[in-house]
Amino acid sequence: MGASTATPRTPWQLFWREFKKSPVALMGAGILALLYLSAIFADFLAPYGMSKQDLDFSYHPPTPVHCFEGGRFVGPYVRPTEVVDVGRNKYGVSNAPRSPIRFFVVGKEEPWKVFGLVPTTVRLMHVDPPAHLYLFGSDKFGRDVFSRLLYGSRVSLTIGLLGILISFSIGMIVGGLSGYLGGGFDMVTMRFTELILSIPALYLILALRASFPMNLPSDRMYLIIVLILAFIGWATLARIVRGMVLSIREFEYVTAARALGAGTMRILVRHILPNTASVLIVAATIAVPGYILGEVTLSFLGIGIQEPQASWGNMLTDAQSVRVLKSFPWMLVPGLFIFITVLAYNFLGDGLSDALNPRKVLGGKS
Amino acid sequence: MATPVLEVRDLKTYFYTDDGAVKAVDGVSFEVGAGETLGIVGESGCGKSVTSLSILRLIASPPGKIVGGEIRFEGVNLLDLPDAAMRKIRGNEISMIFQEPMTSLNPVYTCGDQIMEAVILHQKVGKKEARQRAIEMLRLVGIPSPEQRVDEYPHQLSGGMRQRVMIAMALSCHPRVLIADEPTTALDVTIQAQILDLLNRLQAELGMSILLITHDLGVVAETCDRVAVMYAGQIVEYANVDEIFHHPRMPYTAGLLGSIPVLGEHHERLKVIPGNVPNPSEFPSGCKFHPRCPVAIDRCKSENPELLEIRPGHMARCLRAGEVEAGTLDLARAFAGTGEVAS
Repeated sequence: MGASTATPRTPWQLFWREFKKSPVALMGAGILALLYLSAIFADFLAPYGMSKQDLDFSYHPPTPVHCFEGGRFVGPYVRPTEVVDVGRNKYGVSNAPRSPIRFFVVGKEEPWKVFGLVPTTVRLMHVDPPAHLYLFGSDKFGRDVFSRLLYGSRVSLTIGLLGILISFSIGMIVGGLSGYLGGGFDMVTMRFTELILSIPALYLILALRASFPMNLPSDRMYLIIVLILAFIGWATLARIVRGMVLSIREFEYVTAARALGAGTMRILVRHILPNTASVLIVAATIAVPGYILGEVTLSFLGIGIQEPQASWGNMLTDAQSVRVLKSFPWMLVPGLFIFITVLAYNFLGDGLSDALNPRKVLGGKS
Repeated sequence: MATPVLEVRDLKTYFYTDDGAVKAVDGVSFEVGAGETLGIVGESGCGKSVTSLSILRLIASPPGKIVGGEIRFEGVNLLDLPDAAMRKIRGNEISMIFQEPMTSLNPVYTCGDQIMEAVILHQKVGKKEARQRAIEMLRLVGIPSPEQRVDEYPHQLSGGMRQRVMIAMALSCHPRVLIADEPTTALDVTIQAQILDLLNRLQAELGMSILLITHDLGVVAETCDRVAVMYAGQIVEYANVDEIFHHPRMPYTAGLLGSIPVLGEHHERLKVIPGNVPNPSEFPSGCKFHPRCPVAIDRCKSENPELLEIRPGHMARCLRAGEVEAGTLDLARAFAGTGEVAS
């Protein structure tokens, strides 16, 4: 193939051909696609609003969903429950009639806006009171864990992407200039990255967090967390970029570009940095979980995203106590989702690094 | 000779290393006339590539620095130009092609993108027009079905094709001077001949001057009008191509010529000039070639000869060039002797 094929493959086609060979990577990509889609459509998918609480039903276990009654298919329904033991959060099935799960219900829960534009109240699932649809149980305030998980994913999943985007940009610029210009600039910036890298990340995060006011609105908090994480994360990327630039700038095509009359910035942006892309995409993919975990850590410690805004981190705050863990194990569900997300990112990163590996023989094994 | 388009006077390019200044190019002078091809010949490490990079001011600095001399392009000293003006010269007035066709094209762009780059950098043309120019250039350098090749990536082309693309890039703005740094070294012999033919043809069509850097005397014989032989950072012989090949007046040139295998003649081993090019940080005293020279005399160890005109249009840097000219010293025979001793 190659020169003889009538229509040459584009780099994307080549990439896809390699990428789809790895089932694990495809699985990672699929899981992430599902997670991000459900974050986007959280309002629709969640049966309840983010902060809708029912204090009489705190720590309610996951509601079983039934389909049959007396051997006859009656469609999905739940049984209403009532409090049996208030002190120990014990619930039992009440005598009230079964409550079918209704789909595409309008006008029952708090309104939301499709893509922030069109107001609507439609939600995927709904059960009429007194029954509750707690797919993953409820928390201390009787809020639906499943719904909060969806709303929380908006914070937790996007913080990683936004953080990597910022540190990616800083890392590219700083690392690129540092590697290409060398000399004093390189010296100063690299010592600075070493300074950042030499301080244990958690202490640095805490120290930076301490320099902002304690109680901030969620949106500001979100921005501050992104900035803190990006500030710590860019150093690693900058060093990767610098190392690559150091080797790429010696290639003859860089000299050739200079011989054609290209200036410094043009050479850096057009000729050197695109050649770091394959490595950087992989590095960034593998780095995203770090940012997600960073947000989770801060929120878990109670200095990140504040209630009532949900985040996977602050949903775990309750699970700090052994008593809660022992009696209400569903409080750990956000942890499971963090685990799945991190794993999916790593699978995706591995697949990308195989598919983008330039040393891999085309069509063969590496 | 025609009026020189490019004139290099006493060029000195030094590299400042921990071991002190390395005089990679030390007082090199030559000129290239309009439509002429000048060859610069020498072994690896003699400073020929540094010379060519110096002309476009592409020497990495630090550690390299052009410490002296003049490079006059159409009368303007390039060493006095500000960077922005120099960038307008590069690729537009003076272009360069490189040795390695495998690494001198950027793998992430199509051939067309790379040819268009020079056009867009130097001429106020739109993308469409630049693309048209790229296709024209590809046709000019003899690439079949250029409309299709223009969208292909370098890895889809063979070495010879890539070198053609490189030439198309370099010539896309119709420069006055093309510097070709070992343009055929990495190619196999049949492709070499094609590329040299192409350069000769384009030179005739576009009327440009070529500065051809090579270590291959066969390439020189085929393409050059005049030749400068470099050794250890200096020009040691400078004459037109017939003079160099038929009447070398410097022992080094004679040695180079003697080491070309002759078709049909049987040798146990190829003839070589004994020894290596000296390390630039520790050049010998006197004539830099004397440790390897079969006809060296005591004076060569202490006295560095000047580049002198031995006969009209023929300069040589050797204390004994006069004797060779007079016919009392036969360089070819002297090398034949050492060649056998060395083997």
